[in-house]
Amino acid sequence: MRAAPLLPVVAVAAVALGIVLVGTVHVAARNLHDVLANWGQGVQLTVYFQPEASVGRAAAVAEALRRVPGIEHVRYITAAEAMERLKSGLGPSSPLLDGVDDDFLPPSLEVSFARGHDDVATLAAVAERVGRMPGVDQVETSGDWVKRLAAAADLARAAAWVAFALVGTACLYLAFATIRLAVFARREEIEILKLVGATDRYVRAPFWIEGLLEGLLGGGLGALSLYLLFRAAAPRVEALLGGLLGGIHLGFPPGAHIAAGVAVAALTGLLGAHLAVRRHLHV
Amino acid sequence: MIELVRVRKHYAGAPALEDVSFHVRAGELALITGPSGAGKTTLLRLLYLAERADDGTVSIAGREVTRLRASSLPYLRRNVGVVFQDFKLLRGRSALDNVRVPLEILGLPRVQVEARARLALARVGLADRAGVACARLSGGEQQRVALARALVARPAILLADEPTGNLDVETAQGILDLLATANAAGTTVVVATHDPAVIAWGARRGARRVQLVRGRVQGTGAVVQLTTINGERE
Repeated sequence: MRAAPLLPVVAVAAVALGIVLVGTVHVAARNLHDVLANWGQGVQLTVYFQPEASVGRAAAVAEALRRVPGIEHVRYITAAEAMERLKSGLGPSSPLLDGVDDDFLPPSLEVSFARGHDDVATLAAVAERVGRMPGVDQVETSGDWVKRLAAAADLARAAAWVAFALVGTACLYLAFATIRLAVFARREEIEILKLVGATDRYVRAPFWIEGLLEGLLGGGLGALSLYLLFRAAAPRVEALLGGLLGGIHLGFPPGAHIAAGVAVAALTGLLGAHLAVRRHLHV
Repeated sequence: MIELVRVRKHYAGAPALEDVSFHVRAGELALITGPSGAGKTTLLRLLYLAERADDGTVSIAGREVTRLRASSLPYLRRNVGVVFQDFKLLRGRSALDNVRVPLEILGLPRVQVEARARLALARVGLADRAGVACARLSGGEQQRVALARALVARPAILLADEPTGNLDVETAQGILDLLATANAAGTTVVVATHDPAVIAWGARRGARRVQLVRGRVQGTGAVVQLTTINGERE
């Protein structure tokens, strides 16, 4: 320990960095999942009408859609309402639309499907049928995007696990190396303790505590850093993505997740210490 | 108290001990003698269980320890105090800290640990050096700290490996007096030595002697008797 006083600091910093890395991926995967869940429960098909299409024409299409099995909600969005949404989405940049007529955007129908009926094939079939109806200009489906983003979310989650495994292994090795150096520096003391009757547990206990504290401290610092990083970055990310995806709110993982991360870090330190001290106990 | 039967120990094929048999009764004083390389230290290492015999049996306090499980070693070692040739003290820590160690391992209350450790240091004449780091003590003082540590937990057996090595005559005599005191109090004392002065001291106290030459026992019995048999001058 005295031979390399900086090594425990490096180990604590590495564990903290590991928690930040894994935590960042976890936060991203979790929020992407939440965004997709909201999208999945929202509008999956939008029907835009030609400018000359009457409100009655739109009502007829809406009525036809309501009779399609699996469709849960159909909502008519007027041109003015669409413009209001666009202004809201642009936020501080909404003055760009000053002077643009309120009926600039076409009226539309927003269609939501019940869970189990929102697969890409169903949406595509309905979109094709609706697209042929009189007065309909264009039909957009979000289902395929949802699916692609869902796949991206799954990938992010898998990446989180891979990062967890890699960073965990690195942290385990660092804890092991740190304690091994401490054990090496105190090998004579360990030998003496064993020769005067100390049990393995008695010898191990201080190293276990050291490893546990390193992991705990690193985990705690990492969790705190992750939180501060989140607080600093979340508003910017929300502002950036809000314009593209509509209003989103990024969430920090619940306390139980953070506590579990810190506990895993502490256990990693403990395991590293246990492995490091084992080889010097044979006296 | 201690019994070895046909014990053999080799290192990388080279014999360190060969066909060694002897016994030491409870409360007895015994000397393991012989020139350097005779196997005295190896023999002591078998007795404090730092080594295992390749063959034969070693019994301590009626318990055959050759095939003892590793997890049982600490509990047996607590009954065997050892004064190592190189002292094996925690050099950066105080004399008192060193003497505390066996009592802390036993899990005694802090107050008791403190009192018994200080008493043990006082018995070896180091009460006023309790707080001094061992690295700053003289060789004789370190030897006395090692003796205090070996005796503080009141072991049934005390092993001493060349306890007077590198000490001046007066300091060496002080150490021997302490060993004699421990033996008089009922502790079985086994001393490994090649020092004629220690052998003479053992003769005066009627010690049993085990003479080793190249790892083999050349004779056992009272020191005086062996002196006669071998014609040594002690």
